[in-house]
Amino acid sequence: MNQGKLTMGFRTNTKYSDEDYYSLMVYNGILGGGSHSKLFQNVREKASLAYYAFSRLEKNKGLMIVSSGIDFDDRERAIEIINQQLEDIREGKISDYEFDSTIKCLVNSFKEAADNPAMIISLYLDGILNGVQRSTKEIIENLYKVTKTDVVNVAERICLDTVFFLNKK
Amino acid sequence: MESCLAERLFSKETQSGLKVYVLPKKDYNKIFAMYSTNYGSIDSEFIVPGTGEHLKVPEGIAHFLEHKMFEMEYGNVFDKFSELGASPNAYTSYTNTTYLFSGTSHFRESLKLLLEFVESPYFTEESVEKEKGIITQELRMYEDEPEWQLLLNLLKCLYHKHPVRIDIGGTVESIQNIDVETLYKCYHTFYHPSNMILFVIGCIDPEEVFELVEKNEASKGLSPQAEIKRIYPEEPTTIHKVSHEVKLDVNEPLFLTGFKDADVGSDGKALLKKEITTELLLEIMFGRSSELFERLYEEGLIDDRFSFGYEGHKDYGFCTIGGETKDPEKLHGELLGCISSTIEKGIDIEDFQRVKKKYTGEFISGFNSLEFIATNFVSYHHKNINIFDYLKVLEEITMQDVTERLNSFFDFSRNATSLVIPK
Repeated sequence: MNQGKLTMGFRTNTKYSDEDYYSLMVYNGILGGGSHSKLFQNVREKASLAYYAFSRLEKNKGLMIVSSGIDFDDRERAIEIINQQLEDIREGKISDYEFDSTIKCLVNSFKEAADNPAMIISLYLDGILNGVQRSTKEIIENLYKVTKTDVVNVAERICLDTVFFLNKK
Repeated sequence: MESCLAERLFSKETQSGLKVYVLPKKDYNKIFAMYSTNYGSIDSEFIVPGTGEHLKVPEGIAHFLEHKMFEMEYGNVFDKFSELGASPNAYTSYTNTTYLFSGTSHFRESLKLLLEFVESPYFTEESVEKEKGIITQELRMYEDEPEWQLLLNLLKCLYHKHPVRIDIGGTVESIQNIDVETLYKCYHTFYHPSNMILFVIGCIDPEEVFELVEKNEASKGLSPQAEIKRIYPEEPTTIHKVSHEVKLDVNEPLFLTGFKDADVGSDGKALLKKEITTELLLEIMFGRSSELFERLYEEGLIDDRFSFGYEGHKDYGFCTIGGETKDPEKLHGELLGCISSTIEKGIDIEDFQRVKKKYTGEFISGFNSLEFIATNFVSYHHKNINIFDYLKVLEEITMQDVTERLNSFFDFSRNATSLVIPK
């Protein structure tokens, strides 16, 4: 092994079928959903600890996974920086740039989904699995309604469950 | 234009030599744009135009340069794209570096931004040092991927000196030697518009794109540049090493065997024909519908990760065949045995026709995806190939063509094997 793989698993306590699932999507985007996100900016760009640092939702299970590949010795430091980002969101420390970029990025991805047959199918499947069919139009409308307060509210329900670190022998 | 694809390509070459292509797709929500330079990891030795300096640069610099392009004097350009709701990205291959974005709104601004950031090199000592940390982690990430190591080691076996045997990102050691001055030299050599191409696809009007590009160029006042002199080492047609084995944290052995192409020197349609012909051959012998695949799969010697491919450029070409297997030696024997018996018995015309149809279907269905069209258009363009020639070239390939290639390409003296086995 040449690189430590850090994975943190969280229980979001929010279901795909919940009305505030949209807020959770925005939360995830702000935390680690792209180059504008807190994880990318702080773990990778500022601290130079990683090439990848992101979060993603396991939407059908109500989970969120944070992942990053780092030097073995940077484990504690990386966890500290990651926890700081979670803390910052809970305290409402979300910049306009982080918030607006996340909304734009999410809206963009749903608009692009309509160009892609596999993604259209996937969206319908999620709807069937969770008992709630949402069109991309509906999703986009609801994303625009999410506020920073909504994001802080879902943040408060998110709990760390497991930290997994793949280490060298 | 290709009638069955029903596509219309618009093109223009600007004063400075930039080739601009627009493929309108008005029924799609988005646009996808790629700004690409004919400069990749293999271009590690060249003459700097103007000064005539003969430069050999650290391995991995093309990739390093790609990372640094995103940094501007005002900050990181990722942020500006995010504000426009566009998703930017970039990649470096052996032969080209490509910057791209996709977006569903703010097309003009995003396109302008793409041109702007690629045309504005900005490197500082501090940001170069910081990037070394990030790229080190990227390299370490690849070091942990057994399949990446498998291919890298195969290339080291096939090639004595050609830079394709070096990892695109370089090594943790080589990138330490990268400095600001060298980055600028590489940039100014290879990022001149005459060495670049802009490809835009999606719901956009071609005239709008051409106007935007020309306006952008007019504001710059670029001087023309002489042809770039790239220096590649003399590479014999023989292979360097017959095999290489490493022990990594895997559960089952990984096997990859390859053949080095002795027929090099052509690009354009000739290269396209050679590429398709070779791929048809591999598909006939090792594809999912082949007798060999079915038998080895049933025997448990291979699983559905078994795959193959051919990569061809002007100065080098190779094929790879392999996957996970519990008995690498036996698999190797089976593959070579299949090649020998196919050479002896000849190719079945039914297989040939079936595989041609498969490739036709796959290519056409690829045209549903803007990314497929853009990525392939751009990479083919750098090899002087027009993607819209693909179907016709494929159609015109004859049994004689595949038979000739079968008999000349699969020379066992040009075969090497790479293994990753459990610790």
